[in-house]
Amino acid sequence: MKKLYIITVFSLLIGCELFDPTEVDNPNVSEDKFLADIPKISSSWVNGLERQLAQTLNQTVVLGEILSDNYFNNRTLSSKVFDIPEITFQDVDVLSMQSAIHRLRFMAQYGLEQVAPNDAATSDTQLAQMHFYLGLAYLMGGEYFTGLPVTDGGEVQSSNELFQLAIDEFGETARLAGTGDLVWDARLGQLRAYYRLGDTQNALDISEEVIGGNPDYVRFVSYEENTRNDMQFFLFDSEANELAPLPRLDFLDPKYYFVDQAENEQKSVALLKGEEAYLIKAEIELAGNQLAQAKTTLTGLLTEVISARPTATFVDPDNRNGGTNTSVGIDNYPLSDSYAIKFDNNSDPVNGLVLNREGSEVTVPTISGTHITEANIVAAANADKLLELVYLMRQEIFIAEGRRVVDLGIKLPVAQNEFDGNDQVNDTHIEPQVPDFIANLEAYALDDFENDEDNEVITINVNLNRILVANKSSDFVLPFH
Amino acid sequence: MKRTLYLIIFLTSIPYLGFSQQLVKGKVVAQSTNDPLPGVNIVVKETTTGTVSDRNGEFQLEIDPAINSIIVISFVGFNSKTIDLNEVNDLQNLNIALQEKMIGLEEVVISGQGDNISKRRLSTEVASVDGQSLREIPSIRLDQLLQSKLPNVQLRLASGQPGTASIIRSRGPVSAFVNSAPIIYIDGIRLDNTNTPIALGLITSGLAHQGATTSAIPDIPVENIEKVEFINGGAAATLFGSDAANGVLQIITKKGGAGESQLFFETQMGVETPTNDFLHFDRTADLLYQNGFVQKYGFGANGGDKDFGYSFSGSVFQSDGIRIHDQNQNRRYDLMMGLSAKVKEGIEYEGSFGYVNNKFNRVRNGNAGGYTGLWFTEGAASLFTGPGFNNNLNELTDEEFEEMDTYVSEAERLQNFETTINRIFTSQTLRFFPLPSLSIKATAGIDIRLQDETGIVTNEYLNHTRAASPDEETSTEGSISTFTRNFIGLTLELTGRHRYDVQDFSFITTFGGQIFRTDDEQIASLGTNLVEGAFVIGTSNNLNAANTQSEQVYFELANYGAYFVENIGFKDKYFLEFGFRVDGNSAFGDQVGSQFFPKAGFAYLISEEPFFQNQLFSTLKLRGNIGYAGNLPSPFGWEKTVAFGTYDGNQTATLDQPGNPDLGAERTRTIEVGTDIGLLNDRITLSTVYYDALTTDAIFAVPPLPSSGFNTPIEANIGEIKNNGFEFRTNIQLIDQPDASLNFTAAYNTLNNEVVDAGGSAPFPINGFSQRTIQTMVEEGESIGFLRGNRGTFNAEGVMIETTAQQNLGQTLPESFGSFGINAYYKGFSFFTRAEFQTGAYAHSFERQFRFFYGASQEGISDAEIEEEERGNWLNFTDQFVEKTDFLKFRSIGMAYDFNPNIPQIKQVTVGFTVTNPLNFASSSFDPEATHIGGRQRQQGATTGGITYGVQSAPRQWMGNVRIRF
Repeated sequence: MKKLYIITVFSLLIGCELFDPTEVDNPNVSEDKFLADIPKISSSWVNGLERQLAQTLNQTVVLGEILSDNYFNNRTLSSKVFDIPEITFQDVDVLSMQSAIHRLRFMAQYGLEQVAPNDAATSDTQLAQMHFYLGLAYLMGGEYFTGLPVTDGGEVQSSNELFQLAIDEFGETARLAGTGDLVWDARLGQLRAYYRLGDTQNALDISEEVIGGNPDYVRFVSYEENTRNDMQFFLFDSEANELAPLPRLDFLDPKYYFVDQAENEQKSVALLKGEEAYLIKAEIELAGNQLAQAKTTLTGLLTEVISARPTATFVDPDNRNGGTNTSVGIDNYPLSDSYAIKFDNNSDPVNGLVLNREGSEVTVPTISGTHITEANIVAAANADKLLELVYLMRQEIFIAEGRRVVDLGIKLPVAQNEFDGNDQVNDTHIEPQVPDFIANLEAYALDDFENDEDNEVITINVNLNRILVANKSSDFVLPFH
Repeated sequence: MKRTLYLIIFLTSIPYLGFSQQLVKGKVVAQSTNDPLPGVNIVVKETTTGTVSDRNGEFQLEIDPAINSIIVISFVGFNSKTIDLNEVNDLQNLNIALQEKMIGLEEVVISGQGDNISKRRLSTEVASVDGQSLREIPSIRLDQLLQSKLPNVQLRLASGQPGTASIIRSRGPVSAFVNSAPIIYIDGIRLDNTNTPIALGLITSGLAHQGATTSAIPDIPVENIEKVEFINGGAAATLFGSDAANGVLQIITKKGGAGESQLFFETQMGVETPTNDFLHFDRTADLLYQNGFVQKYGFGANGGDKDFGYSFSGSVFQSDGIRIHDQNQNRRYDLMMGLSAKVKEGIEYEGSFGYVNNKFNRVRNGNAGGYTGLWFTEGAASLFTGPGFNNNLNELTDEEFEEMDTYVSEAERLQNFETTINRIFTSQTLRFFPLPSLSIKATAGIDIRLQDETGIVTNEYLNHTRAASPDEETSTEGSISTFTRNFIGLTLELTGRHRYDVQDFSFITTFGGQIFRTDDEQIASLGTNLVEGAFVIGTSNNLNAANTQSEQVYFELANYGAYFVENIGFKDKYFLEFGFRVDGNSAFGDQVGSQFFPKAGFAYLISEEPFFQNQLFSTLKLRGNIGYAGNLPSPFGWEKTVAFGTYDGNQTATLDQPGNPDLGAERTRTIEVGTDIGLLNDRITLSTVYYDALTTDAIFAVPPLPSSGFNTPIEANIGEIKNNGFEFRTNIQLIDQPDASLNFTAAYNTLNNEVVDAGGSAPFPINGFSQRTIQTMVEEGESIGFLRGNRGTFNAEGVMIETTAQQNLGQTLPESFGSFGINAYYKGFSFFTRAEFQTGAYAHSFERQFRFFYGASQEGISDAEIEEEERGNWLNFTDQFVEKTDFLKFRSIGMAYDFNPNIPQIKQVTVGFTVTNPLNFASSSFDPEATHIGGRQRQQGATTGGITYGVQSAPRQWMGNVRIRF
């Protein structure tokens, strides 16, 4: 009997060699496996960074547009309060925007610190790209937030510090790239950072370099079936047409659209474009009281760049959600080109800013457009009038690119999740920045207008560009003034 | 076992000692089941004359009435009975029914002990439910069968649709990470107990459709069950180790009958009706529900002798379901067999095998979007769905209602979601007796569960539900979703048991090792542009769906543990036990070694002390213990991983989960003290337990810091969660006569749960929707799963003047819960009813909030508010749609009559009638139990319910049954 037991136990032990029930293999790729065993990882990492940029841009564009006076949010479940504008550090949209920017930053840092050193095939171009994404993350952090940490749980860097970090990273991009589009990407990125820092000389130098060297340059971020353009979804793809533009911007909407199949026609978003060099140069000139030069610069923008930008014609079924937004007291949206628009109660009506909707063909600019003409520029009587035109042009040219909110001086605070888990975040970091001249307006004032249906005249509640100029000495807006 | 054998030999020899006697013949049965009891001692009082009953419970005994006419009938686990034969007319047909002992000190249990042991020796409680009691109601779901039968456990069916997940919870949620469902064993083999949404899954398994999530519990085999044991977490579960902190449910199947072979056949028929008690609009029932025919046929056989036994039963179940067009129909086949055999001297074998095939249909649930029946009606979405209707169903004219009815009927009919589950289970055990005092038990077994789901959305359905005009009609948007989950669980266990008696001491030593592993593969595919009329995606040569995509995940988990426990008895009334389990697990981080779970306890049977003998107290046992058990992290959760994708046709890489090399099991330390009291010969029993459970190293799936750059939560052992409360149980035998009995049982439990320490992590949701609406949350200082939403402040006119975001709107865990039941028996007639209750929990009704928002009703909001703000503030005063959910629900009422029809071959016929879910009383206007299952963090994530959104209440069943024993 004893023998039998010994034999049984022994055979069981031998049997276990053939069959190990405790063996477990993770079928997914671990970090160690990725860094050690997979060749050419820098290439897929850079692709991942580009996709992350597209995803980050989805957040900044949609939320930035709602937060500004450009678009009113009719339907989306996200952000019912950004239109007010009401910003709290607990808001999930603040969190998602912060997370999206941090993810881009972290992936770029990880690429430089871990991926590139583990891939002998990493090229200088790939390194330049990684620095570029890192620069962009800093730039966007500085533009949209009062401050952000730049490491996991790190100290909060102010937006100006973030701009400086961005400038350095873009410098590294240009150095490693040497020539080509990446250099222009870096220059335009630096330009934006210098602009926000109010660094006149550097901003002017780069503006002139771009205008002289590659004035119609555009750095697009593309979208596709698996990484869709959220702004396009809200503007066009979604049957609900969640976002409605301020009526005076109607002629620019929708920047993104499809004709046959949404999934195959996801439109790119312009991340950086030559127009900005003209606009910043003109603003610097106005700050220096060089009215004539500024007019020349702006005219150059129209004739050299905008006039050559493409437009698209297609059927737009958007009815602005039936035009009813009475829930917060906003009147019906105009849907016919017979409407005229008054920019505020004291302005003259302007025609041609509203297109026929609801199934009519519309023609809209797909990169940049403005209703401002050479004549308008020439007619501007003084620097402030022209400055107002500059900001109106910025608004129109960059519509649906998430930039307007930055011009308004609105910045988000550090989000609750960071505050709760990062003891370097203090109470001052969770306060949003909303300039008084906006905070003091009534709720929804930025998107509000009145519709005189009998006379087909829309009166916009406030002319925000005029208010910006009136408050040009504010620390939050118009950085050169 | 052996002792009993000796006793049998000894006692059976007595009749042959040669007295001149009168012959008495009779039969002993269990009073509750009427089943024959073999091995019962029948002894003439104050003599050594006696016998034992045979396999059919029958006995004969020769006595001399002149010496003593009183016989004493006694059997382990039953109350002894004394009969004066002078008062009996027919000494040839003595029928004796024995009543089970309520305290059950002699009951032999296995769960948590490594091997069989009598309850007397334990410092912990093992609750058990016998197979007969499980057959009371005709349900095919284990969780429903056990409702109100496990005294300290809440089992709540979260949805009335077939196959859906439930919420099972005993001593509060000890984890904010792992679902509170206990681990489940059948004959020592672990079963898939996934009771939440799973990692993948399309329409019917329902990631987005949390109200109708397919669970692995409803298809656990329920045939041929001898009993079900349940142990709470803590010391009772220590031997199960790293994932037993929620307790362990063990099914023990029958392995052989007593004596002569028996056959039975059972047929049950009846009707299932909707539970309309909680509907806001009576017409909802007219639109969506039907009365469905239910039928179940069962058959079985068992028999054997001392060296061989077999037991087998099977059933076929079919229900039309309560949704119109039979959209909740359910058909199930169950088969279970058990064998026991003596292989040779010193080697015994036991085996069981089960198969379940379960197939059912479901409809779109709750927040599935587009048309969903209950959201359309109760959620007032009829306002804008399809052609659009007046969403106040009470205001519809007959003509308008007819129009709506036609629309709804077609929308329901055109849905096509079908689930099929095939489940095979087997357990094989060999027991060796190398020494008289040593037994070795080797168990191996598997649980294989294959789940297939298909959801088809036809163009016809889309066109109808959208009320598309002819030129808007689509012919390209149809889609087919398929989902497959293959689960394989493997258990291997070797247990040794040694018993050593010396003088007044007895030492029972149990030691062993266990390996279990689970392999869980899930594949989901979606085919769009589905050709109308096609029901499969097709092949590349014949593609019915022009665009296809698929997803696949694979989880493996292996656990290997060793355990040891020593149970020391002194004079069979003082007991001390101590032991431990050590576990290694593939889900532990690579910096974590094995984890150690110790336990210790004592039991003291005061009532066995000579000084304690009195008429009132028949039993008094004091017990106390401390023990640890754990909960596991998710498979591979500790590893830092890279995710790949495509972008513009190129491969992309990015970091995925952050990983945590220090990730280990949660540890729940439970201290428990209790008394078991039996009064008046155990006619009244009362058990009282106080427990205090502290989970340290609680895993929180913490949303990473935004600045970390990670999106996916990090699993980390950073929290501390406490649960404490009292557990009371009583059983009162009001009448205890041979022909009549009346028995009352009740249980009452209190629960106090708090996240003591969140380890600095931000509050996070475990269920619900966006932060602006309603979520159930985990936050330091609060109970797990409290409701968080916006609270409105109103002025005297009822106009909202302020809203405060993210407020605690009430806890979803009850402060107390319990159950009670009545069993009555009179001359073959039996009656039972069982009910459950809870107090102190809150829940939110999204239907009410939607009805307000869509203008179908005011839901208590003032006219002034509506005049001022219309309904724009609907999300700013979510607190107005939260209600207290105290309830008392009768789970079942039934009656049966047993008789012998005097037909050859037929031994007994039972005719019965049962109503399931007959009565509901609740403080809330909605069903407190029909809630979103949640667990949104991950597969097997924590959930507490608490949010209702288009979830169907469990239906009523009215069933008649006939059971014939041959």
